Amino acid sequence: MKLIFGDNQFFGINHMSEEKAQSLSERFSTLEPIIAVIDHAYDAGIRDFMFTTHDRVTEICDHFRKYHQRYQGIKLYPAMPYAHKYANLVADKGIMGAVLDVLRGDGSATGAIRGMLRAGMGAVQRDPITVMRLLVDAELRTFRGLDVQAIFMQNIVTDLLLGLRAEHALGEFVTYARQRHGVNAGFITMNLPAMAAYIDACGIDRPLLCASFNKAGYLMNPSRESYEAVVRKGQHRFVAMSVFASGAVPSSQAAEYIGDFENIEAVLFGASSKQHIEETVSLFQDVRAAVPA
Amino acid sequence: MREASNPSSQGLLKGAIIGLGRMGLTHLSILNSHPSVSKLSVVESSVCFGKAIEKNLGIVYYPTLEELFRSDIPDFLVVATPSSSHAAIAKSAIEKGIHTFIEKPLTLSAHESATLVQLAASRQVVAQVGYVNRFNEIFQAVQLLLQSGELGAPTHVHCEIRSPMVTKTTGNSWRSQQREGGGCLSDIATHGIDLLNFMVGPPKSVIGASLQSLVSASVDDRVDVLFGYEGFTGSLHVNWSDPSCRKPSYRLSIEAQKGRIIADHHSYKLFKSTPAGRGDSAAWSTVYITDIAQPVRMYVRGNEFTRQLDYFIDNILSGTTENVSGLESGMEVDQVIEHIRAAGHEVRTV
Repeated sequence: MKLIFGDNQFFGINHMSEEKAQSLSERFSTLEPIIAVIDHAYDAGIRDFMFTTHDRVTEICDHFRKYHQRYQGIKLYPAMPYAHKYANLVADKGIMGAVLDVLRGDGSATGAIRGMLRAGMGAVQRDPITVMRLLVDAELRTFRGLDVQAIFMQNIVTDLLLGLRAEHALGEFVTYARQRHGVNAGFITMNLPAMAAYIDACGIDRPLLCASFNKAGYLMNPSRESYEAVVRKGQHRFVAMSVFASGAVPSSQAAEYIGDFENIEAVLFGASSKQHIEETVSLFQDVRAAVPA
Repeated sequence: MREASNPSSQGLLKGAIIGLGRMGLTHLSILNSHPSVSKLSVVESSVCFGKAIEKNLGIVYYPTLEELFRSDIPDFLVVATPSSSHAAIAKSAIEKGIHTFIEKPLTLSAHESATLVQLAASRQVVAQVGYVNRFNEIFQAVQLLLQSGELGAPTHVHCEIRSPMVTKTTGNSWRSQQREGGGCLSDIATHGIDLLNFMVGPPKSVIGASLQSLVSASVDDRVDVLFGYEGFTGSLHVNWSDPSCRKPSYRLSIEAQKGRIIADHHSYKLFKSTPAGRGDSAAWSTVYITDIAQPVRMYVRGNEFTRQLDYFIDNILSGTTENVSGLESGMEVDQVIEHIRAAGHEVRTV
């Protein structure tokens, strides 16, 4: 099974406990310990890494570029946007104010952005799809010169757009990633069955769907059974996450559960110790992965 | 149980949302995917944004509430506008018999909130205020545990909230003006007051309070309060200008005669006194959200956001006007706020 190494642990994200989240965020407050963990993952054979477009990722990407010999074959999966970067801006300036702020903050603003900023809020509001493209460009610039395999839309945006039935925005994310950036696209979602049904209804062509899969049924909405049914149908491409349900599922059971499905292509997981990384690698090495059609 | 006025005959509801900020859009997404909601309209003061929503999502848009009401009276309205407008909007909706969900705080005056409570009761509508923590599974479990009496009577309750919401002086957002509902006390601190009220009921008195500006020019950024209850005390510490945390972080701590609870959104630790006496580590146990969370119909920002709106819709469909987050709860928070302001010693550090 292909493993994708995630980055939640670096940014103080832990679903189980705010205390653990805080201690992780203290431990990873500088680049050095983050790189040490990434190196453990690379040395354990992992080549696929997902990074949220957090400010800190710029430093990590700089490190990859500087020591590219050390990280041969590394493949990246940017997940965007880093919600908290926008959330505080939105609370303060409204949604459009936040968008303008992020675009303004992008030093390499293209003529299109400058034109749009000149035209003011009105133009931005009338054309949200163009705004989305510009934000994707701005977020991807961090990863220039690195091997980006696919970009993912974070669940906070995916699920908001799914609820809004924003067919055009979801479809355009996939089309724009493929046509403009030559990379595949995926969606992280907490509502896999609804998302799978919706992308079918919209005719969006087989994006990667990254969702929680664990025996505890944690973050599997509306039910674990409905997830299992969607995966067994095998009409989509799946990446499993939260396979340990933040520790609620013992590791051997996690691998066994994922192994029961033939249609999962990869497992996204995060860990902060060499031991846990190596254990997870060995746990999943014999689990068969789906081969994308 | 009282009967609320009947929804549309087929059991499908027409709804509207006023105010498309962060909360308004979240509510729109959750309700737009609700199987019992057949039609949603939005009311938004930014014409450009409203039109973009209409054009891109096919959701009918009105620039004002009056225009919505002239065209169509919805079964329910969700109010997610800046706090200073809640009272007038909620009043005009409830007067028309519209079931109304109002974001927190209910209003900026305990008197106006009391008027809304009476109005909602007389019109027999389902009316709910957005104190979303009442729908968090950990806080619900803690509340049940306290109500069960297993830990005996409380001796002290404490709530602390830290958030990096306002970490630099900003000019003209409504959050930076007190009369618009800005300031930490009228904003995120209301969640702390409500959480304490949810656990042990409203306090009998405010023993002391301080409101402190840390980075804001004209509103409080930090609130510290000591409450008096019947036979015990409580404290509230809220800082919305705390750069040390990544996102809002809660800590609820309850000391009782026979135990202690420390809780946040993700877990609670329980200490039960045992005959072994002091420091018995076996007396501590932890319950994690992963142990008790139940899936929701549609997850947008956390289980509790969906649970609170689905509860609102269920109550409309079943005609239930009693509500765990009813307007009375909103009014009680607004009353506590006024007591805090009256007792509050203002400290200015900017």
